Amino acid sequence: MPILHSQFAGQGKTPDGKNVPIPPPACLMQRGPCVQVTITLADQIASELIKRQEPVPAAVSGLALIDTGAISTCIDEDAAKQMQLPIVNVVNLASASHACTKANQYPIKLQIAGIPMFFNSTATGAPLKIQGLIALIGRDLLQHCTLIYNGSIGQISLCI
Amino acid sequence: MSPLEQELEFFAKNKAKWLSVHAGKFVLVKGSELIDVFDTSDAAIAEGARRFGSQSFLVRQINSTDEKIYIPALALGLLYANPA
Repeated sequence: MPILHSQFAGQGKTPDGKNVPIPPPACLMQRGPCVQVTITLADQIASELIKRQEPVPAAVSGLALIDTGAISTCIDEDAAKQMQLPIVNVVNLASASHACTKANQYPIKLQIAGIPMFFNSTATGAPLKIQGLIALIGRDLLQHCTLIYNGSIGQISLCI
Repeated sequence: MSPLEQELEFFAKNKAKWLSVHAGKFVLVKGSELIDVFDTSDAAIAEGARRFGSQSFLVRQINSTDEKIYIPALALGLLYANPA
């Protein structure tokens, strides 16, 4: 059973400019449970493109935040457009401040670095780049996982 | 024209009819044409890919309620919210 242990660590600056280590629990609290991921086109479509000898969009890599509050996995809208992923649905994305907005859904394959497995999913497009993220990992993927958030030592474990 | 506008319009027009015979299943729609109905979205996407390659197409479950996605951190603007 593949298990990923991710230990958070970082550096900060004191008011007088000195670099100091940030305690792992504070790093995890500030950054949130992020993992490195690679996103490509979903297998069903990629294999068809390969059969047709058509180009398959290049993969993108970056940080994904594990979000147990999200019902659906999300992909950064700009990354999806850059990869020229096909749109397979349009959904209403609820918002606290205004009426629902429309969001595209894209067929993706997501691989978490350090875990030799991948997920094919339909991800909802959302503006994530501004937060330094390319994806939110939602409960549609987490339903296959055991997640341990160990805040007291600044570590997360993800088991599939 | 926004993405899949034609497909969404066609879906809305036919949803009530499909609901009576295919409730819970997934339709594959391209333009104003129902390609087929599937038990899973994976099967519908695979058929869409086989027919249309990397073009966009609509795969949607036939439900009485509209699909609404709620991502609290996004909806509330809480991704990396910091104390003021």
